Amino acid sequence: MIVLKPGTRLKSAVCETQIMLVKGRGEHDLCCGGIAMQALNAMGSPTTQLDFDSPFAAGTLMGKRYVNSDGSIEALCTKAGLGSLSLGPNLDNLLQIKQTEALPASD
Amino acid sequence: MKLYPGNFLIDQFLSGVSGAYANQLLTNFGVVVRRESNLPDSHPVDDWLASGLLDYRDGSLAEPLCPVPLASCAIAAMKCFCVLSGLQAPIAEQGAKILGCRSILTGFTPKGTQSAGKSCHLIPSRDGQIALNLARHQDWEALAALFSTESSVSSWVSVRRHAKHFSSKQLLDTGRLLGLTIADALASDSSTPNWFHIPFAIQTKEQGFNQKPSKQSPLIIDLSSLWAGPLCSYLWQQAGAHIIKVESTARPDGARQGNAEFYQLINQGKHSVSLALDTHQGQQQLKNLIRQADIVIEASRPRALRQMGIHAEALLESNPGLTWLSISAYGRCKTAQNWPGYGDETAVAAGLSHIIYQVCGAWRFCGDAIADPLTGLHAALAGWAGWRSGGGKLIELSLYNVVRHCIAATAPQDNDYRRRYRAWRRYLAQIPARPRPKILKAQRGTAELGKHNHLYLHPKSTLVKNFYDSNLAAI
Repeated sequence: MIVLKPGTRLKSAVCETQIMLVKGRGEHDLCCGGIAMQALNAMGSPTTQLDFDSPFAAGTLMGKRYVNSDGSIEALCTKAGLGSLSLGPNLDNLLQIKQTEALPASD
Repeated sequence: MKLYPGNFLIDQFLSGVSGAYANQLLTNFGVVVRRESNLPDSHPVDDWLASGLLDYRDGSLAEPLCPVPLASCAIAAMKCFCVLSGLQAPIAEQGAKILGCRSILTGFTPKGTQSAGKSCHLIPSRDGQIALNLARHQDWEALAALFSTESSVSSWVSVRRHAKHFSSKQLLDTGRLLGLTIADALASDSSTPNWFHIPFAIQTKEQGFNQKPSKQSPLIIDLSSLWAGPLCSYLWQQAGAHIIKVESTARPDGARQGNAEFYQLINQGKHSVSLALDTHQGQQQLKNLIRQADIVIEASRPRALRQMGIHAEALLESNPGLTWLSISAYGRCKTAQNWPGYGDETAVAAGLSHIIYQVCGAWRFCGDAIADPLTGLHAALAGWAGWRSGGGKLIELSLYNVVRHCIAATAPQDNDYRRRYRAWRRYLAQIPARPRPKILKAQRGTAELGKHNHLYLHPKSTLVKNFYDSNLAAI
């Protein structure tokens, strides 16, 4: 379990993925590639490799926002990787790409 | 960087500040300009007044006078484009007006530390001054993360309260990770940048300007939105190009929802194609169109197109006559390519607001998203030059570097903006009140989204070219 708040930065334990939390708070088991994510400043690079046939290997895309089913947790991918984001190692709780917002009418 | 080998003499009436700037733009292409001006020099303040960005209707100014001659630069870029493309007046006279056209149509002007478009504000950080542009709803949602706070941040008052606890660097680093449009108003980079770069070129024989291009008018795929890109293709259209405006079905050009007269002004007469760019089929359709184009113009971050499988370099390899014009906020280099940006805060990043601060002691924006129209004008020039010199190039312009170039190329001696400001104010004081210039008006209508899909999305990919060649006269 990791304590989350907006601005929290995490990295995957099994791939290159990094995220920043945009929305959400409290303790959550935020996973990438089915393994709990780590604080960005945790020592070391990924120790275990993600299996290619892992069900948690759909990958993350840089700049995309990922949300849980009720929208209470939202994470921005700041570095792309091979793993998928989920709450717990649970395929029913995969975070989904949030629809990109329409372009502004003017700037 | 020379697009045109050899000398090419052009007789033009290039005088004053705009003449000197035009000269500088054209010499980038190896073009020699013979200055034989009989015209009186136009004062940069007159050029500013012609832009419509200075409201001088009652003989006084509500906003400070910007001591950088950007309206003169706009006139210069327009004249250069007219020289290369053979365009004549009255188009050539519109350079300055283009800067102010949206502001006049919407009635929006900068107010205090707020931009004309209202979404961008200049705010103090702990150690400096930043500009933050919150144009989209999701930008507001990211503020809790920017300020590492658990409470929601939903007003500019609240933004100011939080921002003063962070250094500009902290805010920029985190803001850029979050995809926010944010700029450091005090960043100092006094080097003179190139206003365009060519990061990739196919090795082909240079055709040079003097040779007749294979076609009289280029076929252009315009993937851009909002202002800079559409303005650029509008100018090409004036010079005879055929424009296919390609939009994503799910995310069409946001300017369609903005001021209708402004949208019509810079998108009139363009053909409209809508593609489901989030599907494989839509991406293949786009590639088919690009393979047949003479010029592609886009204003998206490189990763957005790459994530769709659209690679500028690969498409140039498969269509070596292509000119690919990329407009970005801060350039395509590895660090800056993911930083988004709009026309207001990129100009702040280039140092424009800091210069205004130096002369009047207040943090102010200059104009309305001024980097957008300036970049559109410069892009029209660079892209046309690329096409006329045989194509095969990826040409890159950024809003940031175009404004920096305008500033650096016209800087006063010893960078003494205060002295120039005082001189310009004295000049202005002699001028009686002046009505705003006449509004630019669209002559043609705009196409609704996807109106011309039936012309271009035929399964046989060669159809575009056939259609284009056989209907050229009718277009």
